[in-house]
Amino acid sequence: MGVTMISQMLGHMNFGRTIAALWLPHGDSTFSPGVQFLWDFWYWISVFFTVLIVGLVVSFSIRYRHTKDRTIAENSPSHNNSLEITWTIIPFIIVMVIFALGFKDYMNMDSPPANSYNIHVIAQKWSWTFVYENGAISNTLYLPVNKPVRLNMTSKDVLHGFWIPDLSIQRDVVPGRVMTTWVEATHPGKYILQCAEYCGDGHSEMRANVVAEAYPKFQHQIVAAANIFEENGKPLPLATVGKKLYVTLGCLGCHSVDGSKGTGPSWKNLAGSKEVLTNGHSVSVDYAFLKTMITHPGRVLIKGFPAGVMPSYGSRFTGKNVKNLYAVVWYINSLSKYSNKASQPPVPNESGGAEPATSSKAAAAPATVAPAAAVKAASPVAKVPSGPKPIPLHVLGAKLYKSLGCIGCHTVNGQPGVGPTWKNLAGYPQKLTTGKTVIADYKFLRTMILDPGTMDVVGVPAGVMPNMYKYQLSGKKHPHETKLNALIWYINTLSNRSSKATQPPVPDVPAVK
Amino acid sequence: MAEALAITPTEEQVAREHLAHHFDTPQQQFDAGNLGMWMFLATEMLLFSGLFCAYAVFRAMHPEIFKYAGRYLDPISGLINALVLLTSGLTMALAVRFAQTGKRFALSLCLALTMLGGVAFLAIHAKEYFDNGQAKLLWGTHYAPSVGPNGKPVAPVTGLVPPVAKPKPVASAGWTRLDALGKAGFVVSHSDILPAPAGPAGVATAQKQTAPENPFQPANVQIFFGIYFLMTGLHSLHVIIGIIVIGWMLIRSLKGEFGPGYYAPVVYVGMYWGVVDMVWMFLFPLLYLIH
Amino acid sequence: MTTLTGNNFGDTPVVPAKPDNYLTHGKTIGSWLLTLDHKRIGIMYLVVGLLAFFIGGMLAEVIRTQLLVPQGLIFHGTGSVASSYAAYRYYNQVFTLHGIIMVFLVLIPIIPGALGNFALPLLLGAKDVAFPKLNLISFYLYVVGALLAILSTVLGAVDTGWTFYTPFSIQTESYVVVMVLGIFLVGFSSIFTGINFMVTIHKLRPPGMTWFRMPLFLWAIYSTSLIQVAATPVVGITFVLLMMERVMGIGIFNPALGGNPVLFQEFFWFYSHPAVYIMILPAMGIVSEIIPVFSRKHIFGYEFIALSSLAIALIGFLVWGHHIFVNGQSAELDAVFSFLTFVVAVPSAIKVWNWLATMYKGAIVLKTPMLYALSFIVLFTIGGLTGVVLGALSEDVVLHDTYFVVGHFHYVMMGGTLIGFIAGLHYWWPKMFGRMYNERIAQWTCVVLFIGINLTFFPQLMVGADGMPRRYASYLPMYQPYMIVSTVGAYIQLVAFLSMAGYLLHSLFRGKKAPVNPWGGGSLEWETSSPPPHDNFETTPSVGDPYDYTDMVFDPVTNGYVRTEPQQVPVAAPQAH
Repeated sequence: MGVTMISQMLGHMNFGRTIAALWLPHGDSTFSPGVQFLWDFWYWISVFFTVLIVGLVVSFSIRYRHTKDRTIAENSPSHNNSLEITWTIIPFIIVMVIFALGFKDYMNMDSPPANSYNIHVIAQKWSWTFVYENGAISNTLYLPVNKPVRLNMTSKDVLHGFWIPDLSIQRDVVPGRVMTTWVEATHPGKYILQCAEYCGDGHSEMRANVVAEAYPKFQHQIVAAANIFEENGKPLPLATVGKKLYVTLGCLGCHSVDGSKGTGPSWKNLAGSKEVLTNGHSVSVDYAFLKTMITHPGRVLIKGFPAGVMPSYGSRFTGKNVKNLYAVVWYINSLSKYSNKASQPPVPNESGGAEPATSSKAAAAPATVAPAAAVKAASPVAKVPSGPKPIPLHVLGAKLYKSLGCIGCHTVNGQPGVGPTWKNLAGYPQKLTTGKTVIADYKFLRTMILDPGTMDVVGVPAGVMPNMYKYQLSGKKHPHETKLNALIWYINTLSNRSSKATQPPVPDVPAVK
Repeated sequence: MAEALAITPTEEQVAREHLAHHFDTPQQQFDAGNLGMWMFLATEMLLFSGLFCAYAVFRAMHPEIFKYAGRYLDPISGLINALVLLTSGLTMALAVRFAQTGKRFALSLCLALTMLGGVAFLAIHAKEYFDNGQAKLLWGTHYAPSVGPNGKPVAPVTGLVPPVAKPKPVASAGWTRLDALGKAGFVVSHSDILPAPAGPAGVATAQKQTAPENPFQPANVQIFFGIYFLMTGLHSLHVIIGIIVIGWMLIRSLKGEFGPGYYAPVVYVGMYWGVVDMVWMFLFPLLYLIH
Repeated sequence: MTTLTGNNFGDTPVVPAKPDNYLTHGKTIGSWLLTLDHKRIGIMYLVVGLLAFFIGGMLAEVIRTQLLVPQGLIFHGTGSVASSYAAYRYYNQVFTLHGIIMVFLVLIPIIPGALGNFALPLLLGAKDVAFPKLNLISFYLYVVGALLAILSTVLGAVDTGWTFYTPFSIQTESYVVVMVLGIFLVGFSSIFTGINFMVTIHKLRPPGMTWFRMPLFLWAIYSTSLIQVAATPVVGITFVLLMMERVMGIGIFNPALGGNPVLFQEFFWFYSHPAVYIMILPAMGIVSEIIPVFSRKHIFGYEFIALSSLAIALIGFLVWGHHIFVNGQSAELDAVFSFLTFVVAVPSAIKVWNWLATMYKGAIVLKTPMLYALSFIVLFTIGGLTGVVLGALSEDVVLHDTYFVVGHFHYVMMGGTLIGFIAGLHYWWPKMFGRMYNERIAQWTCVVLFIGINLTFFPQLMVGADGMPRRYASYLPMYQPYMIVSTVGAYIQLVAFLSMAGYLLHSLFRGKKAPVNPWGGGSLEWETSSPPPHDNFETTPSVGDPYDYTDMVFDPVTNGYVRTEPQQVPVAAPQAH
């Protein structure tokens, strides 16, 4: 109580602002006055003690300096308990006052008011994304003035630090947890959010703009931010939207657009070109390939680029958000001189794609993505490249081989890869780590694809093959296992020992819906 | 003066022989070694204490993992190991006694018995590790048992299981505030809070967690086995070092180096072996007797 | 009696041809590399430590040069964002190496390793440390650790920051395991040194030297050793876990495997905060030795300085949480850590007051060691006071991980530990090598260094308070003026260090012969010749009050101080002064 009163009293006096203002930035949140006051309090105490100590050092050195007549110290005690106690107690009291003031403000910072507006902050290497209560997504943090905002923060990869100097607020963002803090801006203004916790290459550029506005204007802003596909009510070309996403989703951290080297491949002249995979395969960068690289980056690895660096964007590009994918792929195509029909998305670039009317709805979706959405979203994977014309199963299998990412680990020409080659696989004996040898028949192939952990083949590292194909190829949603059969048919066409036992139980004819 | 030149050296002379130049008396040298050894053993305990802290933190935050996974371990083999180590501790103590009293044969015998105890401990433990390996009761991504501790089959947990933060009441001191978040009516998209590709060496990334067929199997059981292998592995390493050092003492004892005038190394090794024993007496209940 | 020829040691020559000292006792390289002599081991630590300091210092100059312009002067992109990021990785490697080298290879080992090893047995009047072989093992663990650090840098430089925070350190594609293994070995070197020194102080004190009659440097070294012994094993196991994490994927710290990345921070700081006191306490001990000698006055408040070292060491174990206030540990826990942080500030303040009281009414000689000791007081005061504001919870929120923190710990580490080390090096230099350095140049170098340090680090305090985060390869243009001044300061420091290297090397070969007691010190190392003989003392020195200078006079013939009457061995407890 007393501390509060004194702090308010002294706070109004605003002493020493002229000099102390050289130090802390002018704070614009409800925390700032307290922080500012304690800073000033500490600052002047420090100035006092620094001047005192430097003064004593200098004056003693001059006054008591060693001279011809002064070769030994004057007789003075080397011991004085009351003096010792004095200079123990006084600093102790001072630091306890600082402790109490700091503690009081900190408890306030730690407990967000119940009526706070919620913003979800997503940190990743090396960008910030903000999701608002209405589902809008932005890379600028919009804050309403005079309304407490609770920030629920998650990290997709490593530690990051949410730090807005002008609003006196900082919190680490720890992966695997939801970190919370809150802030209430007191004035409209523009500030900068910087990442404070070291997070790698792009750490020093991991910034975001912060805009505090009066509540009505804030609402207007986040509604506008909710729709990236339109500007002033007019639909934008998808490539333009893709360029925005390039920045807002943080692609720019690893992929250049001018051909210069980065952590990931440059997008300049990427679409339609040839890339060499880690298994030595050469693939043409078509739409299906780009899609796989964006939605499931771990599946296919391009030679010369490290594994496990690219975050999984999964739900941001699939399901209701598939337009984001079209936009980014159009943008990549717009950067390439090799761009061709095969490398372009299945919707036109101009007037915002095929269905401009629903675009705003589609974009508003991401914040309400339910946990199941990611699983569901994975199901239409093979639809787009499979095309409208009915094709034999093994042809569909050959397409799935690329689009599902099998190509990343399995070759079809007999060369070694991470997983076994599909050339002459079906019908040939396979040695298991248990010592048994089994023939690669239909049952074996099906098990290996759906439940890869059940058996381990000698010479193939365990635990590498993902076990989520179960959901994409089998189960309740895929009672006919059409795509699975397509893959196994494709494997059969690559083997000279294909037989009834190795082939799927359905004929290799166009799939029936 | 002539009487002092006995043919067999006296205790005093033996002690003088082993006195380093910077010490004044053998007693000072022994005390210094003793104090140094105690400090070293204190650092050994502190080395283990880091793991005990990790154990305590995870157990406090996820008791369900420890309750579930602890039943995989066989308390009988842990108990046998405890008895083996206790016996070897006794023989080691006797060895120290015999070194001081100069009974050379008894000293060598006790040292050999202590080594034998250490080897037996390691053999029993190796069997346990081997069984764990067979059942895939391992750490991190290698954890993939096909049966639960009750013998019933469980869903194979192959590949990486990233932790999905579940909004559940958490008793820990304010680390996770997901419960409060849920109360505030905020919908957290799970796909957004999945940690991204982490893992060294080609681990598949960000897959969805499979719904376990065994409803009693909690998430992240692999953490328990990570801690189990670290703790017992570090301890076994100490047992191995202990066996080697005792072997060295045995050789020196057979050469007849120890006697009432000089026995300090046996005492120091005995202290070390005592600490190795003691650590297991903590590990055994903490890992094997959870339920 | 009348003749000296008939002594009991017939083979000893009557007149030694040339006085043998520890530097000339054995001339082969092997006699150095395999020596068990604490003094030679100390000199070897000094050489390796200074080499590491040179590398770390040059890296610091690279950092400062990079930050001259906002987008980076040395490492910057070719226009695209992606190319900048790829370039910034090199900067990240540079500051990581700077931190690792300075903390683990310079600040922690150099005072105990070099000056402690050299001076501790001399101050005790002992022939060696308790375990000379262990001492040599410590040194080689340190060297192997340093070599592994170099190896990992050659293979693929680490870019984690010296703190190795998970999960970044688990994911990054650099040779973290090799580096961490190196630090692990350096840690064990530190533990063994600590054990050695503690046992030496416990068991090898000469008769008459009670605990409260020990020189204060020994109290500081004792407190330091206590921390080394009790805290280092914990970081040892932490680094083992980190290695397991990378090699086996054990998962304790990896959130992707259900682990807890914050646990790593707790473990890391449980060591690394006390490690701060490992760095600063010996420096305080050195200052406590120098100030009374150069004030020609008995130290003021001996017991308070001695016990405050111990208090800092003990309370220092309980404050690690103040590094991680903003990482989401509970506010109640934060409050406890904050409280204890303020408590530990008090003993440091006590020391400063006692030093000032020692100077009061003294006869102050402003020779180089004293100038450095006074610089220490001023710089440490600034470092300590900026630490106080960081301990305040609400202030830490706006200062955590900014350049304010960088400025603060450089004031403490550079202005405290390093200046303390340099003070001690100048103080014991005549004893170590038997040569004097050029006093005038040394004094001017001290002044230049003092200016350089303030120019470098004061702007960092200001820019940090203004909001610039640390570990930034590029920054907002509004911070540039501060950064320029800071860089200029760094180059001024470089000039000072080059000058220091010059006059010290000159002194090694061309310096004037040093007297037995050039400064008039009262502790036992000044009783033996400069440099001391292999066995330290020709005769066992008599123990007295190490801070009593009343019976000492300057002897212009030898250019050193001599006692007018032999030290009296006090029989009872020291009388009140």
